[in-house]
Amino acid sequence: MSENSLLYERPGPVGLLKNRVYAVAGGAFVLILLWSVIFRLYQRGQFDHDRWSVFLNTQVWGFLLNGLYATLLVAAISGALSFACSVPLALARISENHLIRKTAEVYISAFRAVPLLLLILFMAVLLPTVGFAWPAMAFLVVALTLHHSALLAEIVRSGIMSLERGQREAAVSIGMTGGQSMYYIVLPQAIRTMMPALIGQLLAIVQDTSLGYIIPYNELLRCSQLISTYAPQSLLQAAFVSTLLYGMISALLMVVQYKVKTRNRAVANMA
Amino acid sequence: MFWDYVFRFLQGMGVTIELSFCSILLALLAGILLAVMRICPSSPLRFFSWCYVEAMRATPVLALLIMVVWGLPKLGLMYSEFASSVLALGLYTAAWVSEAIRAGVASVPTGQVEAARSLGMSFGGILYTIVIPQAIRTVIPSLSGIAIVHIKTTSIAAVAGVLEITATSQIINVESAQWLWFLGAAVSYLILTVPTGWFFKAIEQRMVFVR
Repeated sequence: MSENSLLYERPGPVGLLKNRVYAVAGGAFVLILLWSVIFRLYQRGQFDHDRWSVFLNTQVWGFLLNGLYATLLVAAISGALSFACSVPLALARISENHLIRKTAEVYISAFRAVPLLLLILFMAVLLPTVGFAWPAMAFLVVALTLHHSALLAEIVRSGIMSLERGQREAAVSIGMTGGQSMYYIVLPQAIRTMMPALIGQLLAIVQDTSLGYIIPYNELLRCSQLISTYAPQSLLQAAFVSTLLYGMISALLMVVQYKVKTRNRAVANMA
Repeated sequence: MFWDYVFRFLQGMGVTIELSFCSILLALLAGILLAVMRICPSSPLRFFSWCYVEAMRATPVLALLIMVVWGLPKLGLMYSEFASSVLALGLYTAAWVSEAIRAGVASVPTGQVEAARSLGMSFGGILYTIVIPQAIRTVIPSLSGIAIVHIKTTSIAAVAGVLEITATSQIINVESAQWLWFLGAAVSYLILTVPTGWFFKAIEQRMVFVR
């Protein structure tokens, strides 16, 4: 936060007073906005006991946590699959063979261009018609993998490209083959530098599993909506609680991402 | 029958264009405001901007959309699904816009800001005449990327019942039992995103400057 403090003088007595006035005015504006939202919700009985009492029921929580488990399961499977696909894709993208390179380019730009929701709907329609009568979870995993492997491949590629040429040249000059130098020298270093971006992509995958809502796959968001068929008065409350659960998972990943970023910076400063 | 489908498909494309345009405009304005708040001298405003951006990063856009679409009527504000979607998508992308602009602000050489300060310019003056114009020009490529991702994200408005390309292709697919319409939808997103990239490229070339 302090990195931009060059933009203004260190405030003197008048400046401090001014800042305080702005802070009070801005804070008051935000608080009034929040308060009016909360008050209106209160007026319409959104904080009544019977709207929230569903969450005192352990079975409801069991159902929600099942949804959370389904979300995390899909995120883990498609995260692992996308990463596994993205490294070969990135290598194909920088391959010297014209045909391989073009194929990877077409794959990457095609799946980056299609909205994920459309891809999920398409997979849910296409795969059964060509004979894969899988459960909804599989369609979600396939669509997420196709989409995110293309995005990850670009991250991996930029990670490989950002490494100095000398590393690879040195490896080749001590007699390693191209593949060996990639596997032992380039990839380990590239993956370390792009770790924050990879975690960011995992975060995106976790959040994108919520699109399974429409196939329908019973992940967290869908479960929260199903609760409202059991307790119709708690529609908004259930959506809010599920958003909080997503927020907790995301916050965890964001903290890990921050830790990795600072550790990387510390390592870079040591070198 | 076929031409009826084509007509509805083009209508869906029109809705996607309207939706994207309105929400990108909202996102740009709110994003610039958030970026300014994030670097201003007042610490509560900085804190608010930080909270907003991190909260948006931690929320799946579909969950946000559903809360806005279901929640606004509960507030007694009965807007259309379209307006609710614009609001949700715009507020979501504003966070990314503000992060991009902040990166642009960091790229402005400190010497320029110091020179401006030594001339006695105020914080607002420095931002308006020196920092923001350069910051926005520097980040036009990333704004272009954000806009293209945003156009694709508008597809989730289909869940809220807005009849844009994705929703239309889904309905036509059910009616005609012809999944080729999904390919048509994919192509129409290309028809929208590729010129968006050109548009930003043109702006970039027009606003190019040498530092």
